Amino acid sequence: MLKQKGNAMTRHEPDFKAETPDGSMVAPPGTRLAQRQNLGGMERSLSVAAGAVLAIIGARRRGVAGIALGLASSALLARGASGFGPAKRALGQRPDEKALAESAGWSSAAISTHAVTINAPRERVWQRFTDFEAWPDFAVNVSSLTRDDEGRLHIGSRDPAGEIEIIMAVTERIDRELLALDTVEGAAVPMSVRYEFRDGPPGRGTEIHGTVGYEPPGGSLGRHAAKANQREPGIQLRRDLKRFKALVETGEIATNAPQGQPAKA
Amino acid sequence: MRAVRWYGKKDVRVETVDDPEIVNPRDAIIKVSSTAICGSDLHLYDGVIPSMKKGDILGHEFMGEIVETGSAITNVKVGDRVVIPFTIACGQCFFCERTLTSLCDNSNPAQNQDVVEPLMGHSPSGLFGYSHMLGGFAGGQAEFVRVPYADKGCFKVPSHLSDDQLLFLSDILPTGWMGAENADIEPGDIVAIWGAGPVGQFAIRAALLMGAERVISIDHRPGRLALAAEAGAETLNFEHVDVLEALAETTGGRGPDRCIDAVGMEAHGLSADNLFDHARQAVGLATDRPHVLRQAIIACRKGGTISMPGVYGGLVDGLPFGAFVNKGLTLKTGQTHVHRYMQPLLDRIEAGEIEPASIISHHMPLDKAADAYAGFANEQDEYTKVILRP
Repeated sequence: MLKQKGNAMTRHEPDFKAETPDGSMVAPPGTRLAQRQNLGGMERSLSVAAGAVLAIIGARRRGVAGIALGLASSALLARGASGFGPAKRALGQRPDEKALAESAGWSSAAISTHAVTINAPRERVWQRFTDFEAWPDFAVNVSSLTRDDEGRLHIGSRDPAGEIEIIMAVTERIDRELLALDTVEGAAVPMSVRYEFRDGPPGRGTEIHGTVGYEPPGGSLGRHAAKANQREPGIQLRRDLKRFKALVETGEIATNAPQGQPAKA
Repeated sequence: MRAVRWYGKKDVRVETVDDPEIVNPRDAIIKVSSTAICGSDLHLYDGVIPSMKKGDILGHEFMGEIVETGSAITNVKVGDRVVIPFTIACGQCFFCERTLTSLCDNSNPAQNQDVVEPLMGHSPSGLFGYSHMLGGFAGGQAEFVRVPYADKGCFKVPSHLSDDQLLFLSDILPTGWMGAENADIEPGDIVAIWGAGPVGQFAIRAALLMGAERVISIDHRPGRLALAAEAGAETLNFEHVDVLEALAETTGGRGPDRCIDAVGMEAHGLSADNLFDHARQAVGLATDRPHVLRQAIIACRKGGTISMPGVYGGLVDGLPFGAFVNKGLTLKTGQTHVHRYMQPLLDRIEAGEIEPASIISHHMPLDKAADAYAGFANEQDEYTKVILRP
């Protein structure tokens, strides 16, 4: 079982809601990854200083060298002023990912989110989504799903290495509002998933806000390797929610076979 | 079956491939009787649309007979003669419910949406035979086609009209019509239409039917301008006259009230901005050549409307946006919501108000597709519209 009780993602609710230190929300409801800053105070100061130096040198040069120095200076100034380093984001963890890793006892964590709006009432969306045995109809890497006596989901998945089994436990369930699942202890890739269900504005259907946090094998580099072969949980979350939406709205899932992917459902 | 496949810039081949099969319950298989090469297919032929793969089957204007249906299809049946809209639409999402079928949420497969979302933020509908970012669906320049969401995407047509009269309901007739509709034409308006290709031709006819006082067609192909004149347009050859001066003069200095860009991302012409765009496009530093849009912004009457049925693919820069804002212009765009125009336009064809076949210049067998593409691309004055028959 998990090292702490409950859903690993839920324990980090304040981080995902991107609250500022004074407690005010910096992003509207349903926003989970508004947290953009990933640089500390010293890193930001150094960026601004280096950017200013390059700007002065660049202004004195003409031609390509001057332009290149100008661009580099702008990038450093933007990095320092905003506190957001794209390269650091690509290679490392955001503060919320770091906090998730620490609390879950993972060596590192990656978090992805995706939200879809489904043109159907919330009750129907909830019923379809919690019909777990039907997940293989839309979830692209789920080949089979059974439930054991304790209600845990045994998910069969096709891995490049062959058929694997992932066991997940429902850690939180509030009808028509929230479904959260965590992998049980000993999983090859520990993972925590939350799906929140909300009504859209009147006449606009039901929103599902999905979040997945996981311990990427091999850290951040492993995350990129997983993305490259399309097995990264964030990619699967996005595609599965879209395919679920198509299935609920249209009764089937669009496929371009034989020019591309085969259908499911 | 035989099918037209894309292999790269200026490289299309007719080859034998596997016949399509029913995959989903709402699919149908169509035996194609007629298919056309669209001006937008030339963007593929010129290699300027990203995410094409070698071997992709081209074609998004086609019609034929239903030869097989999926288990969920009840409103059409085997043997029905149908025209297929080039935009694939589910009919049940937020957008389809509002007849915005080219914005369908569900017809572009999730994996393909991943290609287009980083570029556009959201995915438009899937299209037949028009790159993998827009669905990766096999197209209609073939003997058979699998039509997804066929209950919404098979438009039944009467037997007393010919293929030539009906085929363009699939794309260019609704596209020209929506181009004119988006221009918000009011009585007394003078409408300038850049591009006298097939879409421009139908936009001319639509604008006149919508009550435009005068329509001015701008192109450089004498044959196409002659076709525009036959339909009742005045013509401007941009190789012979300065378009901005001529439009200002002929409108009493006001400028055309409504401007329609039926050219899109591959403008022709020897203007400085266009040559610069050509050079950048050639070395991969630009995707689009928006000369027409720039010119329309400057030409348009203050408070006027620009409608853009022409296809743009990527990033456009160097637009006179100061002029656009300070002149209070309105810009309306979009791939065509084909489904909502098919019945009203069929009614107009039956009533004799529009004669779609008038723009056809060539009928060729499907096996001659490579020649047809080359002719349509290189001899545009002679080739206004090519119909391929499998």
